[in-house]
Amino acid sequence: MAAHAQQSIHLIEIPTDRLPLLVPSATIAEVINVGALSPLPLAQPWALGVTGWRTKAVVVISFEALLAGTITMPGPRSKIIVFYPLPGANHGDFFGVLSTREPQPHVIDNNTDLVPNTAGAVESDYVAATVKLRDKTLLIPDMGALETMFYP
Amino acid sequence: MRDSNQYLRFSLSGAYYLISGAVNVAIDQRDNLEINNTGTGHVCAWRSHDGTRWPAYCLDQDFKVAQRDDWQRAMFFEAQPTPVGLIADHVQLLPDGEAQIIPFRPLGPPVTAAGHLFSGAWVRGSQAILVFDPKVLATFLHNLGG
Repeated sequence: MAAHAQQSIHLIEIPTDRLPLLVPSATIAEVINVGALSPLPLAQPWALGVTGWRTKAVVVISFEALLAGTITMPGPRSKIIVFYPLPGANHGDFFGVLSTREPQPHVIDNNTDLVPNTAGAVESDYVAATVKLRDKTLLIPDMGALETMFYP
Repeated sequence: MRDSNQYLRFSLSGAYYLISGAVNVAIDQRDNLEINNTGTGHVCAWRSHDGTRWPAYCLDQDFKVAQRDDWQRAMFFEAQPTPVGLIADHVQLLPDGEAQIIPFRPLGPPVTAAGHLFSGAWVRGSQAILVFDPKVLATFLHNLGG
């Protein structure tokens, strides 16, 4: 009998003011505290500003603003989730997503843990899927849609 | 000022920005300018030069045209058809090589047909000071009109 290798998926839950996001941990470069946030005049409402990270200038976005136009500003427990550049972007184009608090890691060993949300999907161009992870409802961002929005 | 390793730092509505020293920039004091006291139009002041008037604009933190009276100087950038000015505070020429500029590309659509307003950044810890693309800035200011 052939043994079936069990594959683990490492995911990160990013808390927001709306439903939390769920992304592969491999897409995240670092989680940082919110420091100085320089304004980015005339940018889209979802671009909250620019922060320095290592030697790079990183645009920080509000996913809540993308979903509902509600701009979230950093709170006392907020973090910035620094993402690796999207496929097709320049190698230095890291970007940040504002989180309301520390993100949570999840390891999925059993594919029954992560299922489509039967209560219905969140309708947004920037959401690829609405899922249930155990008892939580989470949103998986559509990275292709983000890339189109970032680099029109 | 024509040294590409030098940068001019200035503040607009409380935030600092940089522009390359390779750009022709003239700084004029308020006393040398004709102030727009009409209460109308977008121009804050003009500099008269050889029968032409160069407009200078005052911007708020969102880069919308503002009218304020508590300013002291304007920076005029080389542009076509005339130089164009920006009311700025705390203007300082940084020492040669002090600002280490990295490329930076804002996310989202460019704000002008000429491209994004910013093309670089100077990162110091968590602070990022954005560097204007001088041609785009001049285009943006000229597009503000009278």
